[in-house]
Amino acid sequence: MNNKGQTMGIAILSAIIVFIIGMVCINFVLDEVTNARTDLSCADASSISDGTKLLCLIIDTNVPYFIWLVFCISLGAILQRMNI
Amino acid sequence: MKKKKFPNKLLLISIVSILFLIGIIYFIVAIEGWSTELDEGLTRAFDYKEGGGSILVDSSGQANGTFTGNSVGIKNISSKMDYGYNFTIGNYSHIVLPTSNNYTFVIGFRSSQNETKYIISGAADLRVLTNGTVGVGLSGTVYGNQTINNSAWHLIIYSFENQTNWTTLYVDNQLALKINSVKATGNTSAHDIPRSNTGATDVAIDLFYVWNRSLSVAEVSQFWNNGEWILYSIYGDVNPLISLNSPINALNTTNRTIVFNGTGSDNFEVKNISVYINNTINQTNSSPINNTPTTFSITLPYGFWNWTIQSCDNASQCTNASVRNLTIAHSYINSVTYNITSYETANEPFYANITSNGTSISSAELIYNGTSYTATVTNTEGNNYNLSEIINIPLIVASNNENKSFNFNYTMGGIEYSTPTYNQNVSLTYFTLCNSTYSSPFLNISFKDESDLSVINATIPTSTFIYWLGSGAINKTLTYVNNSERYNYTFCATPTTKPLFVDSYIQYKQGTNYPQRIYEDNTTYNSSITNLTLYLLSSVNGIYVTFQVVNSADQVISGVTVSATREISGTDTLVGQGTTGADGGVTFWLNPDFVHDFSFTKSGFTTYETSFAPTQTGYTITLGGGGTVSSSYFKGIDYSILPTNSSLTNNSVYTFGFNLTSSFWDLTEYGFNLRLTNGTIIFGGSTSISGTQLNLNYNTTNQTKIYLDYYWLINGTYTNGTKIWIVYNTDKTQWSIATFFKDLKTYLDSGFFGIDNFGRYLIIFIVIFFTAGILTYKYGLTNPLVVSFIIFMIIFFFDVVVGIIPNLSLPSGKEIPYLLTFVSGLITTILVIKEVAT
Repeated sequence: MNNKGQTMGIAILSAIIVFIIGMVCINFVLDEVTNARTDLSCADASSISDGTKLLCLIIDTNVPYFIWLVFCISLGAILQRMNI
Repeated sequence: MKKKKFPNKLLLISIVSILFLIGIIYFIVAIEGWSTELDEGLTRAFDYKEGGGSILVDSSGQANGTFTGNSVGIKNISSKMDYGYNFTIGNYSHIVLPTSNNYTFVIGFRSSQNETKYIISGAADLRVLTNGTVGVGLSGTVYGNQTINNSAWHLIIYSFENQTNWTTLYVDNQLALKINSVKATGNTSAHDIPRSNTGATDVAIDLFYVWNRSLSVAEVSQFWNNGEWILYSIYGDVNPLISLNSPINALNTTNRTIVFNGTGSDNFEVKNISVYINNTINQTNSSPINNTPTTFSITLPYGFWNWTIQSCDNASQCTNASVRNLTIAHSYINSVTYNITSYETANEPFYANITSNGTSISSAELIYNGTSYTATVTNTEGNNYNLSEIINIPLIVASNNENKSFNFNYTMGGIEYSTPTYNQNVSLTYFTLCNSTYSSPFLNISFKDESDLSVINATIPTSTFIYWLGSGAINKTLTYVNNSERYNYTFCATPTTKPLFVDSYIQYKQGTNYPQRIYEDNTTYNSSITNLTLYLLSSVNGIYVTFQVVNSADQVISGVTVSATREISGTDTLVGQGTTGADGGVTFWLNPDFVHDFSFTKSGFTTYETSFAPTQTGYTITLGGGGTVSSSYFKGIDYSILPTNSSLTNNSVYTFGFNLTSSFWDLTEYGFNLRLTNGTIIFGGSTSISGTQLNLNYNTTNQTKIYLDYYWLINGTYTNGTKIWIVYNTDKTQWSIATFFKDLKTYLDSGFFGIDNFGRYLIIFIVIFFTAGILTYKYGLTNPLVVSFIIFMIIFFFDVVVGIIPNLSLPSGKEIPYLLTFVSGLITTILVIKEVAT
């Protein structure tokens, strides 16, 4: 295995580590999102104001955004090693 | 041979001995008891043996005395003759004697104290003196004093005669006085025994008899009876009497406790009264009161019983009353009411009145001729029930009449009981062409030419008469055919006493000269004959006219009753009548020269009436209303359902709704309900106003499926449909990007920031515009196919995936889901084909 191959392997390994850590951290966010949605009654559209609805939508994007962030970091780590 | 002489002396001695013996026997009998000779001149016989009360009974039945005082004497059964009274101060008996010149008093008494006592008051009183003697008071002096033992009973017999002044006194059969020098003076008719105002105490009286004559020495001895005395009551005691007071004979009751009531009476005393049930003594009252009702309360099992009451007196003489019977049942039938005679097909009521034992009658049925009919049970009052049922009398098998049996069955406490079976005589109900057997005419049919009103003859190719007396549920049918031309057809019927309902269908014609017509009617006939004139129209004067009857959807209607009438001689006369067949048509033979009134009738449709001269061979009649094929109820119907999501998530509140518009039918009602998987129905809403949006906010909770059942009602016909949503559990998916879009769509549907359909279109347009613009600008993607594909994908995402693009509507108002996606996909496809083609 040449030098470039070792670098690629470390990059993939780093990406996996970042991804795993990110996924583990998501669990801490999940409960908070649930609590926030429950407290704001996001599921009951007829009883909350438009501002609350907007806040609910922002909260809804947290987890996807976090996952998207983890993916980006992991993918960035690999792409950086690949000098793409 | 020397004839032996009869010993005359011996014969004489024998006869004298026999007579003497007879005399001795007679004497013994006479002196040991009461003899009829003693009845002569007997005016009073008081035995002092009353059980109580204020009446001193005269055993000879001539005049009772009275007991007077604060309390009556005390009955002393240890007296000489077993009965007697002790009198204390102020208590006495009082008697009134008939006026007579001569008297004999017989008195049995005991005086235990050594004081002067007046045993009998009056002109010739009887006194017991302090010196222990008894004597008769005459003009202030006591004569004939005879020493007596105060603790013993004594029989005093004394007589006095006003005319001869002889006064005779016997004390215990010993002559104590016979004197005529002193005469008793004053009133001798009223006496107190003992005298009331002497202050005497402890005087006991056992008997007191009075004659209006003197007693002979022999009679005195007969009365003394060797110290045993004799009592008139033994001679005069008659059998006791008993009368039954209750219950009545042949009593029917449901109460098992029966109170038997009878009054026993005797001229002396009633010793006991007993009640007999089924010839066996059941209860005895050993202390009845003479001439007073005695009751016995006895509980008997259900069943039939005979009973009587027996009364026995002090002489052990008993009398039984007449035997009565009674029935104790769980229920008994008071009456069953019905007509003894009836007729086939008639309506007949049947009633039964029943008294129960307190258990209610829950149901009943009338069994008539083996057929069960449910009867009506009415609780009139208390335990009284009426069972009633009205039925149509079934047909009989016999030619004239026959008996039909019936009874009521009724249920009490889960047990069924039956009334007895009764019979009703049912006679024939008959309607036929008159003949020798049936000669009471009900209906006479004749025929006339419609044009010139001339009387004509006709045939009846077929006719059907359905007839009945009652409601028509049971009826009989006469089918009559006559192909020989006749001027009259007269129909007779039986019974003649009741109106007969006849549903007639008659086809009549005269060969080919007068085409056939039909007469239909439902009429009541009776023995007052009804004349019916049917009109025919000559074949040269009429045309066949066919009426085609359709509904508003141009569908043929069968079963429409069509009638044609025209004025003949100033009277509207039915000249055509029929019912449309499966093709919706009916044909009449009508005169085109006259205006006819036409009527088209069918249940559920609006009756149509019109008038015109039928000059054409065919007419189409449209009846409004009514029903049509079920698929037609979709005609002009447009509806929408909320939410528009293809699936739902749990624990989310959705607005479920249904809206319907109808441009063709008049809506009766429409609405929807939500139905859960466990069958629970949640009412959504209903309305009769077309275009009304019905909404219901409902939380999906943990349901797995939710059904929305919608319906609409038109002309009594329901059209139904169901929309099903699968409810996904979002416990593990509520943080996905799908949640964002689901919330976004929900919020937009609920009026998020007032964004309406136009707002949605504008936002999506901006997204498409900037996305396509940026890609084109940034990456030079100017190829129409690429740009179109990007636009298609964006529209597809927002329309199909997210579902926030509203449905576009056609000019007709019909909404088409995903129309934008189809259009953009079509454009992209065309561009792909174009690229490939070039």
